[in-house]
Order: sequence, then C-alpha cells, then structure tokens
Amino acid sequence: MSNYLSKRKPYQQPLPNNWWLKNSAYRQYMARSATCFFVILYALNLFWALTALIAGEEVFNAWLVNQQAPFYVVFHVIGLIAMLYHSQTWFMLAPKTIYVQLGKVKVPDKKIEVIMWLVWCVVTLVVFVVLLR
Amino acid sequence: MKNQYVRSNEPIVWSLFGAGGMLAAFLLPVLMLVTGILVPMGLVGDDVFSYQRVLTFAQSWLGKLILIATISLPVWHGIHRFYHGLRDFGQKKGRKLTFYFCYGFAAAITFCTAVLLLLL
Repeated sequence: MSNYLSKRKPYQQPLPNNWWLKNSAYRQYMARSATCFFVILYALNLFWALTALIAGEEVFNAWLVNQQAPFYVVFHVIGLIAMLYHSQTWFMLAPKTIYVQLGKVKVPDKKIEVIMWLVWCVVTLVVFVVLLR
Repeated sequence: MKNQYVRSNEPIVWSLFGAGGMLAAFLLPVLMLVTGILVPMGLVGDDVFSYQRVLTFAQSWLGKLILIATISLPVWHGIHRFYHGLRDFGQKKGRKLTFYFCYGFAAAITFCTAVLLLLL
C-alpha cells in the first residue's frame, strides 16, 4: 500500500459482481479461474488418502470405499471436464509465456499448442499404463 | 531517506503457480479419471489401489517425489488463482491478510505432506 501522507481519495469505479457475465471472453476467463477449485480439492483428496495410508490398511480401505459415494464420482466427472478445460487453456497460454525461436522465426503459437497436446497424449498413456498394469 | 525498495514475492509464487499449472494440465486429467472414476466404479481390477501396492509406491523415493509434487503444486497453483480471483470480485481490504492465509495454507499442505511422506 502507499506510504504517501496524502488525503486524496481517488474515485473508484464500482464493480458489479456480475461483470464477467457480460461477454464471452470474460466468461471463459472466469471458467478458467474456476478450475482452481477442482485442482485444490483434488489435491486435498489425495492428501486425505496419504493420511489414510499412514493410519493403516483399514483406514485406507475406508477411504477407497468413501470414493465410491456418488458425490465423489460426480465431483471427479465434473473435475475431469474442468481439468481438460484447464489443459486446453494452459496450452494456449504456454506459447505466450515461453518464447521459442527456431532459426530466425518464432515458432507459431498454434504449433506449440499442438505439440503440448501430443506430449499430453504420451504422458496420459504412460500414466494410464503404469497405474493399471 | 531509507531505501524503501521491497522485492516482490511474485517470482516465487508465480513459479509455483506455473509449475502447478503445468503438472495439473498434464497429470490431473488422467489421475482424476483413474483415481476418481475408474477405480471407485470398479471398472478396473481391485488390486490397482491395494494398500500394499500404494504403500510400496509411497515408500520409494521416486514415489515420494511424485506424491509431494502431485499434492502440493496443484494447491500452490489453485490458491494463486483463488487469491487473484478475489480481487476480480472486488476485494480491496485485507489483501495482505488474505495473502498470508492463502499462501500459508499452501505452505502448510506442502510441509505436512513432506512430513507424512518422510514418516512412511
């Protein structure tokens, strides 16, 4: 905050809470931000699993049974959709934060996005096989 | 007059946000599918998440590394979006307190996860 000994009170334009409903770019921005809830809650669920793992076999199996509740399954289905949206927006954002140059030209954003999705496919396949083997 | 220049904490929190976002983008879809849908619905074998198998994984150093990254980085990522999202809904007062609460929460989860993993 400011350290100035000033009494000026600049006008601050009021911001209605529904400002982000006004156009689709704002709505997409808010949808992207909302994915953070699924990210956090999923990580906390894993944290809970870790505490159960330490507490012993019975507690861990109780956690596994808990996950079968419709609430959790629905959470994970919506979470999966949210995560795919996060991946898409993240891969769109990546070329804007990382400047990649080959020879004298900048690699086009779309190309980086496609490459990241290809890497995503490989990672997903590897994790899937390793977990379910 | 004293030098009042204060270094921004943004590089640290943004790095953790970025790392978490990257991890979430690549790993969370498949992990949610397997841990949250396929296993609970019984669509794959029962022994995928058997206590012994998960314990062996969590006791290996590679397993510990994967687990601390998968649990803590998404929290750093998500809390960063939440913190900045509050301003989008007009929060002006108590930013500093909210900052300590949000990132303190992420730090606490990271610390607890590390301790739990070392206890295994």
